[in-house]
Amino acid sequence: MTVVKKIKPYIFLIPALVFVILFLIYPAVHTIIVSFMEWNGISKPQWIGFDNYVHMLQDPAFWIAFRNTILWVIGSILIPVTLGLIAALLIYMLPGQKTIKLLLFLPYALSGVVISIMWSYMYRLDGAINGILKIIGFVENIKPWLQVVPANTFAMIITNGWRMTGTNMVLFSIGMQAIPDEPIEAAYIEGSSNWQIMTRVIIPMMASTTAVVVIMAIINGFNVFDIVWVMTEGGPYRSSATLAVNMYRESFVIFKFGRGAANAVTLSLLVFVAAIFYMRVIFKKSRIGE
Amino acid sequence: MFIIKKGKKIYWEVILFSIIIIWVAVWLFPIWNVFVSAMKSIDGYISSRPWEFSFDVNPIIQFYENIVRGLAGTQRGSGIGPAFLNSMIYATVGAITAIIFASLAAYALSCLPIKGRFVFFLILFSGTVFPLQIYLIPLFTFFQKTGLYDTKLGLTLAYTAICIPFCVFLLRNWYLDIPKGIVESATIDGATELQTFWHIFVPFSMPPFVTLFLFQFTWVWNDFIFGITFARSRTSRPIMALLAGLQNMYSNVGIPAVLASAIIASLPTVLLLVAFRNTFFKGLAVQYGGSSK
Repeated sequence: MTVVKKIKPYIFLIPALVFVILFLIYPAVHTIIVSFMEWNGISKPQWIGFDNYVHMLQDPAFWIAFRNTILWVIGSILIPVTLGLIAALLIYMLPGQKTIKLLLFLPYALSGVVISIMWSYMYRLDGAINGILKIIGFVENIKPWLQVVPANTFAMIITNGWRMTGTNMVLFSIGMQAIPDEPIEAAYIEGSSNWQIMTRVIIPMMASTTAVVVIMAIINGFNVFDIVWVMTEGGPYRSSATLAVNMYRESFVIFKFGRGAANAVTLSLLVFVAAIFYMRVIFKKSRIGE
Repeated sequence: MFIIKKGKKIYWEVILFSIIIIWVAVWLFPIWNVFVSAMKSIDGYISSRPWEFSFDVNPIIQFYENIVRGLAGTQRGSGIGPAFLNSMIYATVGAITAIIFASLAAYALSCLPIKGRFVFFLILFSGTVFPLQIYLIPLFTFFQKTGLYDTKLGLTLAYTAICIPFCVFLLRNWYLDIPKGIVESATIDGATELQTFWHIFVPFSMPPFVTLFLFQFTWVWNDFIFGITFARSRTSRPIMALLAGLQNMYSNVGIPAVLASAIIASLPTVLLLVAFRNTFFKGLAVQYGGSSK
C-alpha cells in the first residue's frame, strides 16, 4: 500500500475532527485552564492556582445553587419519571391512543424559553395558578410563586415535570413494546391479577429502560439553565439559581471568567459522573468495541 | 398486549380512559392559556381570567395584530421577525453540515482501515457528554478575537460543531450494519472510498439522515444559551434569544403579543413533531436506548 492510500481514510475524519476539536475540545480544555486564572476577558490572565475554587466553595451563593441543583435533580427524577411511567402504563393498557401519546409528548417540541414564558405568566399573582386556587377556595395560598423562596424552585421543577413527562412516557412506551407477550400470558393463565401482572411482570422488565431514563433525568437536572434563567434569572437575590445559572452569571454578567470557569468545571465533573453510567449503557448496546 | 381481564374489561377501560383524558386536559391547559391570551388586547388580558376569552375586541383580529406586533415590534424594540429567518438558517445549515461531516467520519470509523479508531470515536463522541457551560467562555473570547462574535457565520459554526458528535454516534451504529462484503467487492471493482461512500452508503443512510435532521433542527431552533452568549445584535440573534428579550420588556409590546410570538416561534418544531411523530419516537429510542434500529 502506498502512503497516499494509507492516509486516505483519515481524510474522511478531518472535517468532523476540525469542528469538534476547534469548537468543543479546545474550549473545554481552555475552560479548565481559565478556572485557575483571574481574567475578565480583556486584561492579561493571571495564574492564581485554586483561588477561584476556594472562593467558590466559600461563597454562600454557591451552596444555595448547589442545594437548588440537588433539588432539581431529585425533582427531575421524582416528577417526570414517575408520571412518565404511569402515563406509559395507561397507554399500554389502552391501545390505539396515538393522539393522546402525541399530545402528552407535545412539550418536547417547545423550547425552554417558550415553556418558561408560558409558565411564568401562569405563576404571576394574576396568573392562572392563583386563579384556580381562588376558585377552589385556597385564597390564603395565593402568592407570586416565582418571587417566594422556596416556592420558586419548586414551581420551576413542576414546569420541568410538565416538559419532560411526555419524553419519558415515550421512552417507557418503547421499552414496554419490547416486552414479549409470553410472560404476561403465562401470568394471566396462572390467574394473576392485573395489578400483579403490572407490578411483578411489566415493571421489573422495564429495569434497563428505567435506568436510562433516570440517568438522563439526573443529567438534565444538573444542566438546567433555560427555565431558571428566563423565569427568575436565579433570583430573587440568587435564591433560585442553579450551578449552570451561577456559571453564566459569573462569566457573562459580571465577567469574572476565572470564577465562571471554576463553576463550569465543577458542574461538568458532576455531570460526567452521571454520564459515565449513561455511556456504559449505550456503549454496551451499540457495540463500541467493534 | 392487552392485560385487562375480560369480565371487568369495560369497567376498567372507562376508568383508565377517564384518567388519561383528564390528564391530557391538565397537560394542555397551559397551551390553551397561551392561545386564549394571545387573542386578547392588553386591556382584555388584564380584565379577564387567563383561560377565558375576552370579547372586548374580535379575538381573531386581535390575534393577528398581536402576531404582527410580536414579529415587527414597536418603536422601542424590534420583534422576533428577523430572528425567525436567522434561526431557520442556523437550524437548517447547522444540521445539514453536521450530518454531512459526521457521515464522512462515521463511514471512515466503521468501514475504512484506521488505526486507533476507538480514540478517534471518543474524541468525536466526547462532545455529547459535557454541559454546554464548559464551552462558553473560550468560544466567546475566540469569537471576539476572530470577529465571529455576533455574526451569523460564528453561530452557524458553533451550532454545526455541537451537532456533530451525536450524528457521528448514530451514523456509526447504522453503518456497522452494512455488510463488510459490499465494501470489499466495491473496492475490488475499482471504486474509490468516496465512490463507495456516495453510491452505497449515502442512499442507505436516508432514514438516519431524516431522524438526525429532525432532532438537530429542533435542538438548534430551541437553543437559548448559545444564542444569548455568542450574539448580541438583533441582526444575528436566534429566535429564542430574542423571544426571551421580548418577554423582559413585556410592558412595551404587551403580554398578549409576547404569547403570540411564542406561538409563532414554536410553529416550525411543533409542525415537524406532528408530521414526523413516529420518526421522533423511534429517534428517542436510539438516542436514549442506544439500539441502532
